[in-house]
Amino acid sequence: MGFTTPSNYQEELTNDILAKVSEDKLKAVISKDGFSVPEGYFADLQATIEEQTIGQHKVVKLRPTRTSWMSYVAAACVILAASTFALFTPTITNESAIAYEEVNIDVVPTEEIISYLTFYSETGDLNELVEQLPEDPLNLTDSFSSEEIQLYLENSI
Amino acid sequence: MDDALILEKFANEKTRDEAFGLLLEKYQQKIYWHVRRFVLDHEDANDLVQDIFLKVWKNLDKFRADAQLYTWIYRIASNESITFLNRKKHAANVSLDDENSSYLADSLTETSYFNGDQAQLKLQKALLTLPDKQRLVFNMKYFDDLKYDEISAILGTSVGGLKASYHLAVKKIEKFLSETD
Repeated sequence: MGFTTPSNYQEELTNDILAKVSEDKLKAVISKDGFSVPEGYFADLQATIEEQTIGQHKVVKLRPTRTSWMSYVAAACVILAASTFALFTPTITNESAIAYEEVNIDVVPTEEIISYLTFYSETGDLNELVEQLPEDPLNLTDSFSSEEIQLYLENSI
Repeated sequence: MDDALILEKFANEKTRDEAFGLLLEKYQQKIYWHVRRFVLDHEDANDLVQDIFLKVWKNLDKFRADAQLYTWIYRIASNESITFLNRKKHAANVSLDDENSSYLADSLTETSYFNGDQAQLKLQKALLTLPDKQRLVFNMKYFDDLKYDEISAILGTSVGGLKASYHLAVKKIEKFLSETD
Protein backbone atom coordinates (compact mmCIF):
# COMPACT_ATOMS: atom_id res chain seq x y z
CA MET A 1 0.00 0.00 0.00
CA GLY A 2 2.86 2.44 0.80
CA PHE A 3 1.33 4.21 3.82
CA THR A 4 3.00 4.02 7.23
CA THR A 5 2.00 4.98 10.77
CA PRO A 6 4.01 6.15 13.77
CA SER A 7 5.43 3.40 15.97
CA ASN A 8 3.04 2.26 18.78
CA TYR A 9 0.23 3.99 16.89
CA GLN A 10 -2.28 1.18 17.31
CA GLU A 11 -1.71 1.04 21.08
CA GLU A 12 -2.00 4.81 21.36
CA LEU A 13 -5.13 4.82 19.23
CA THR A 14 -6.74 2.25 21.52
CA ASN A 15 -5.90 4.32 24.60
CA ASP A 16 -7.20 7.48 22.94
CA ILE A 17 -10.50 5.88 22.02
CA LEU A 18 -10.99 4.38 25.50
CA ALA A 19 -10.18 7.76 27.10
CA LYS A 20 -12.64 9.48 24.77
CA VAL A 21 -15.36 7.02 25.72
CA SER A 22 -14.74 7.60 29.47
CA GLU A 23 -14.70 11.36 28.95
CA ASP A 24 -18.02 11.28 27.10
CA LYS A 25 -19.59 9.13 29.83
CA LEU A 26 -18.44 11.64 32.44
CA LYS A 27 -19.61 14.66 30.41
CA ALA A 28 -23.01 13.06 30.03
CA VAL A 29 -23.38 13.33 33.83
CA ILE A 30 -21.22 16.34 34.66
CA SER A 31 -20.64 18.86 31.86
CA LYS A 32 -20.23 22.02 33.98
CA ASP A 33 -17.99 22.83 36.92
CA GLY A 34 -20.65 24.36 39.24
CA PHE A 35 -18.85 27.66 39.82
CA SER A 36 -20.62 31.03 39.54
CA VAL A 37 -19.79 34.74 39.72
CA PRO A 38 -21.58 37.81 41.13
CA GLU A 39 -24.02 39.52 38.79
CA GLY A 40 -22.35 42.02 36.43
CA TYR A 41 -18.92 40.77 37.45
CA PHE A 42 -17.31 40.64 34.03
CA ALA A 43 -18.38 44.17 33.08
CA ASP A 44 -16.86 45.44 36.35
CA LEU A 45 -13.75 43.31 35.81
CA GLN A 46 -13.06 44.86 32.42
CA ALA A 47 -13.47 48.38 33.85
CA THR A 48 -11.18 47.57 36.79
CA ILE A 49 -8.43 46.15 34.60
CA GLU A 50 -8.69 49.06 32.15
CA GLU A 51 -8.35 51.51 35.03
CA GLN A 52 -5.17 49.77 36.21
CA THR A 53 -3.66 49.65 32.72
CA ILE A 54 -5.07 52.09 30.16
CA GLY A 55 -6.06 54.50 32.92
CA GLN A 56 -2.49 54.66 34.30
CA HIS A 57 -1.13 55.08 30.77
CA LYS A 58 -3.32 58.17 30.30
CA VAL A 59 -2.29 59.67 33.68
CA VAL A 60 1.36 59.51 32.65
CA LYS A 61 0.62 61.16 29.30
CA LEU A 62 -1.32 64.07 30.90
CA ARG A 63 1.60 65.25 33.07
CA PRO A 64 2.73 68.67 31.59
CA THR A 65 6.38 68.64 30.58
CA ARG A 66 6.85 72.43 30.65
CA THR A 67 6.21 72.63 34.39
CA SER A 68 8.65 69.85 35.14
CA TRP A 69 11.37 71.54 33.03
CA MET A 70 10.95 74.81 34.94
CA SER A 71 10.94 72.94 38.24
CA TYR A 72 14.32 71.43 37.43
CA VAL A 73 15.78 74.84 36.50
CA ALA A 74 14.43 76.42 39.69
CA ALA A 75 15.81 73.61 41.80
CA ALA A 76 19.22 73.94 40.14
CA CYS A 77 19.30 77.71 40.87
CA VAL A 78 18.48 77.16 44.54
CA ILE A 79 21.19 74.52 44.89
CA LEU A 80 23.74 76.76 43.16
CA ALA A 81 22.92 79.72 45.40
CA ALA A 82 23.09 77.62 48.55
CA SER A 83 26.42 76.10 47.49
CA THR A 84 27.92 79.51 46.71
CA PHE A 85 26.81 80.88 50.07
CA ALA A 86 28.26 77.90 51.93
CA LEU A 87 31.53 78.09 50.04
CA PHE A 88 32.27 81.76 50.66
CA THR A 89 30.88 82.22 54.16
CA PRO A 90 33.48 81.12 56.72
CA THR A 91 32.24 79.21 59.69
CA ILE A 92 33.35 80.89 62.90
CA THR A 93 33.97 78.64 65.90
CA ASN A 94 35.80 79.09 69.18
CA GLU A 95 38.76 77.22 67.83
CA SER A 96 38.76 79.33 64.68
CA ALA A 97 38.60 82.49 66.75
CA ILE A 98 41.52 81.32 68.84
CA ALA A 99 43.47 80.41 65.68
CA TYR A 100 42.63 83.84 64.28
CA GLU A 101 43.99 85.46 67.41
CA GLU A 102 47.04 83.25 67.22
CA VAL A 103 47.63 84.30 63.67
CA ASN A 104 47.30 87.94 64.69
CA ILE A 105 49.83 87.53 67.50
CA ASP A 106 52.22 85.95 65.04
CA VAL A 107 52.34 89.09 62.95
CA VAL A 108 52.96 91.45 65.92
CA PRO A 109 56.65 92.45 66.19
CA THR A 110 58.49 90.87 69.09
CA GLU A 111 59.66 94.27 70.43
CA GLU A 112 56.08 95.42 70.77
CA ILE A 113 55.12 92.29 72.66
CA ILE A 114 58.04 92.74 75.04
CA SER A 115 57.16 96.43 75.56
CA TYR A 116 53.55 95.53 76.25
CA LEU A 117 54.42 92.85 78.72
CA THR A 118 56.95 94.98 80.51
CA PHE A 119 54.45 97.82 80.95
CA TYR A 120 51.33 95.72 81.70
CA SER A 121 52.61 92.50 83.26
CA GLU A 122 52.06 91.26 86.82
CA THR A 123 54.90 91.73 89.30
CA GLY A 124 56.11 88.15 88.98
CA ASP A 125 56.05 88.19 85.21
CA LEU A 126 58.92 90.68 84.88
CA ASN A 127 61.39 88.34 86.50
CA GLU A 128 60.24 85.51 84.23
CA LEU A 129 60.65 87.69 81.21
CA VAL A 130 64.11 88.82 82.22
CA GLU A 131 65.20 85.21 82.67
CA GLN A 132 63.85 84.29 79.21
CA LEU A 133 65.53 87.17 77.43
CA PRO A 134 68.97 86.60 75.83
CA GLU A 135 71.85 88.50 77.38
CA ASP A 136 71.51 91.65 75.36
CA PRO A 137 68.64 91.09 72.92
CA LEU A 138 68.32 94.73 71.84
CA ASN A 139 71.76 95.93 72.49
CA LEU A 140 70.28 98.43 74.92
CA THR A 141 73.38 99.52 76.77
CA ASP A 142 74.92 101.11 73.77
CA SER A 143 71.91 102.73 72.15
CA PHE A 144 69.99 104.29 75.09
CA SER A 145 70.84 107.50 76.90
CA SER A 146 70.88 107.84 80.66
CA GLU A 147 67.63 109.83 80.54
CA GLU A 148 65.91 107.05 78.61
CA ILE A 149 67.09 104.46 81.05
CA GLN A 150 65.85 106.57 83.96
CA LEU A 151 62.47 106.92 82.32
CA TYR A 152 62.28 103.22 81.80
CA LEU A 153 63.11 102.43 85.40
CA GLU A 154 60.52 104.90 86.73
CA ASN A 155 57.76 103.34 84.58
CA SER A 156 58.51 99.73 85.35
CA ILE A 157 58.34 99.96 89.13
CA MET B 1 -11.38 40.00 16.31
CA ASP B 2 -8.27 38.41 14.87
CA ASP B 3 -5.22 38.33 17.21
CA ALA B 4 -2.94 39.69 14.47
CA LEU B 5 -5.15 42.78 14.18
CA ILE B 6 -5.16 43.26 17.97
CA LEU B 7 -1.34 43.11 17.99
CA GLU B 8 -1.13 45.53 15.06
CA LYS B 9 -3.36 48.04 16.84
CA PHE B 10 -1.43 47.61 20.09
CA ALA B 11 1.86 48.37 18.31
CA ASN B 12 0.46 51.76 17.33
CA GLU B 13 0.54 54.27 20.21
CA LYS B 14 -2.70 55.90 19.01
CA THR B 15 -4.70 52.66 18.96
CA ARG B 16 -2.99 50.87 21.86
CA ASP B 17 -5.75 51.49 24.38
CA GLU B 18 -8.44 50.38 21.95
CA ALA B 19 -6.44 47.21 21.19
CA PHE B 20 -6.13 46.31 24.86
CA GLY B 21 -9.87 46.80 25.36
CA LEU B 22 -10.50 44.39 22.48
CA LEU B 23 -8.05 41.89 23.95
CA LEU B 24 -9.87 42.04 27.29
CA GLU B 25 -13.25 41.52 25.66
CA LYS B 26 -11.91 38.48 23.84
CA TYR B 27 -9.98 36.77 26.64
CA GLN B 28 -10.93 37.96 30.11
CA GLN B 29 -13.75 35.43 30.66
CA LYS B 30 -11.78 32.48 29.29
CA ILE B 31 -8.81 33.35 31.48
CA TYR B 32 -11.01 33.96 34.51
CA TRP B 33 -12.60 30.51 34.28
CA HIS B 34 -9.26 28.86 33.57
CA VAL B 35 -7.91 30.41 36.78
CA ARG B 36 -11.12 29.93 38.81
CA ARG B 37 -11.31 26.19 38.11
CA PHE B 38 -7.78 25.85 39.39
CA VAL B 39 -7.83 28.07 42.50
CA LEU B 40 -11.56 27.51 43.23
CA ASP B 41 -12.17 30.71 45.23
CA HIS B 42 -13.79 33.65 43.37
CA GLU B 43 -11.89 36.38 45.25
CA ASP B 44 -8.56 34.65 44.65
CA ALA B 45 -9.38 34.23 40.96
CA ASN B 46 -10.45 37.89 40.75
CA ASP B 47 -7.11 39.09 42.16
CA LEU B 48 -5.12 36.74 39.96
CA VAL B 49 -6.91 37.71 36.75
CA GLN B 50 -6.15 41.39 37.37
CA ASP B 51 -2.47 40.59 38.00
CA ILE B 52 -2.38 38.45 34.85
CA PHE B 53 -3.79 41.13 32.56
CA LEU B 54 -1.53 43.75 34.13
CA LYS B 55 1.42 41.54 33.12
CA VAL B 56 -0.08 41.16 29.65
CA TRP B 57 -0.40 44.96 29.35
CA LYS B 58 3.20 45.54 30.49
CA ASN B 59 4.74 42.84 28.29
CA LEU B 60 2.60 42.68 25.16
CA ASP B 61 4.99 44.95 23.26
CA LYS B 62 7.71 42.33 23.83
CA PHE B 63 5.49 39.42 22.65
CA ARG B 64 7.08 37.61 19.74
CA ALA B 65 4.64 36.47 17.09
CA ASP B 66 6.31 33.05 16.90
CA ALA B 67 3.62 31.81 19.31
CA GLN B 68 -0.13 32.32 19.36
CA LEU B 69 -1.37 35.21 21.49
CA TYR B 70 -3.89 33.13 23.43
CA THR B 71 -1.18 30.50 24.12
CA TRP B 72 1.02 33.23 25.60
CA ILE B 73 -1.79 34.61 27.77
CA TYR B 74 -2.80 31.13 28.96
CA ARG B 75 0.82 30.39 29.83
CA ILE B 76 1.04 33.52 32.00
CA ALA B 77 -2.27 32.57 33.63
CA SER B 78 -1.19 28.96 34.32
CA ASN B 79 2.17 29.99 35.79
CA GLU B 80 0.60 32.67 37.97
CA SER B 81 -2.04 30.22 39.21
CA ILE B 82 0.50 27.51 40.13
CA THR B 83 2.71 30.08 41.88
CA PHE B 84 -0.33 31.38 43.76
CA LEU B 85 -1.34 27.94 45.00
CA ASN B 86 2.23 27.15 46.07
CA ARG B 87 2.29 30.37 48.09
CA LYS B 88 -1.05 29.47 49.61
CA LYS B 89 0.25 26.02 50.55
CA HIS B 90 3.25 27.64 52.21
CA ALA B 91 0.99 29.99 54.16
CA ALA B 92 -1.20 27.04 55.24
CA ASN B 93 1.92 25.04 56.25
CA VAL B 94 1.18 22.45 53.61
CA SER B 95 4.27 20.75 52.24
CA LEU B 96 5.14 21.71 48.66
CA ASP B 97 6.00 18.05 48.17
CA ASP B 98 2.24 17.38 48.30
CA GLU B 99 1.56 17.67 44.60
CA ASN B 100 -2.19 18.06 44.98
CA SER B 101 -4.31 20.68 46.67
CA SER B 102 -6.69 18.37 48.52
CA TYR B 103 -6.57 20.80 51.46
CA LEU B 104 -8.77 23.09 49.33
CA ALA B 105 -11.66 20.59 49.41
CA ASP B 106 -13.25 22.27 52.46
CA SER B 107 -13.23 25.68 50.79
CA LEU B 108 -15.46 24.27 48.03
CA THR B 109 -18.47 24.19 50.33
CA GLU B 110 -17.49 27.41 52.14
CA THR B 111 -17.34 29.58 49.03
CA SER B 112 -20.61 31.39 48.26
CA TYR B 113 -19.99 31.20 44.53
CA PHE B 114 -20.37 27.46 44.06
CA ASN B 115 -23.91 26.41 43.23
CA GLY B 116 -23.19 23.04 41.64
CA ASP B 117 -25.12 19.86 42.39
CA GLN B 118 -23.76 16.87 44.33
CA ALA B 119 -22.24 15.31 41.21
CA GLN B 120 -20.39 18.50 40.36
CA LEU B 121 -19.16 18.84 43.93
CA LYS B 122 -17.90 15.24 43.87
CA LEU B 123 -16.10 15.85 40.58
CA GLN B 124 -14.33 18.89 42.06
CA LYS B 125 -13.29 16.87 45.13
CA ALA B 126 -12.05 14.10 42.83
CA LEU B 127 -10.01 16.64 40.86
CA LEU B 128 -8.37 17.89 44.07
CA THR B 129 -6.86 14.43 44.61
CA LEU B 130 -4.87 14.80 41.35
CA PRO B 131 -1.42 16.43 41.23
CA ASP B 132 -1.86 20.15 40.45
CA LYS B 133 -0.35 19.96 36.97
CA GLN B 134 -2.46 16.94 36.07
CA ARG B 135 -5.54 18.79 37.33
CA LEU B 136 -4.57 21.76 35.14
CA VAL B 137 -4.31 19.47 32.08
CA PHE B 138 -7.68 17.90 32.86
CA ASN B 139 -9.39 21.30 33.21
CA MET B 140 -7.92 22.57 29.93
CA LYS B 141 -8.99 19.45 28.03
CA TYR B 142 -12.32 18.72 29.72
CA PHE B 143 -13.73 22.20 30.48
CA ASP B 144 -11.74 24.60 28.22
CA ASP B 145 -11.94 22.19 25.23
CA LEU B 146 -8.37 22.90 24.18
CA LYS B 147 -6.58 20.53 21.79
CA TYR B 148 -3.53 18.58 22.94
CA ASP B 149 -1.14 20.56 20.76
CA GLU B 150 -2.55 23.81 22.19
CA ILE B 151 -2.07 22.54 25.76
CA SER B 152 1.42 21.38 24.76
CA ALA B 153 2.29 24.92 23.57
CA ILE B 154 0.93 26.38 26.83
CA LEU B 155 2.60 24.03 29.31
CA GLY B 156 5.67 23.05 27.33
CA THR B 157 4.85 19.34 27.74
CA SER B 158 4.84 16.81 24.87
CA VAL B 159 1.52 15.77 23.33
CA GLY B 160 2.24 12.12 24.24
CA GLY B 161 2.86 13.10 27.85
CA LEU B 162 -0.34 15.13 27.96
CA LYS B 163 -2.42 12.29 26.53
CA ALA B 164 -1.05 9.87 29.09
CA SER B 165 -1.68 12.38 31.89
CA TYR B 166 -5.25 13.03 30.77
CA HIS B 167 -6.12 9.35 30.32
CA LEU B 168 -4.80 8.60 33.79
CA ALA B 169 -6.73 11.54 35.27
CA VAL B 170 -10.00 10.34 33.76
CA LYS B 171 -9.44 6.82 35.18
CA LYS B 172 -8.67 8.19 38.67
CA ILE B 173 -11.81 10.31 38.63
CA GLU B 174 -13.99 7.39 37.48
CA LYS B 175 -12.56 5.31 40.33
CA PHE B 176 -13.07 8.11 42.90
CA LEU B 177 -16.68 8.67 41.83
CA SER B 178 -17.50 4.97 41.89
CA GLU B 179 -15.90 4.47 45.34
CA THR B 180 -17.71 7.44 46.92
CA ASP B 181 -21.16 6.59 45.53
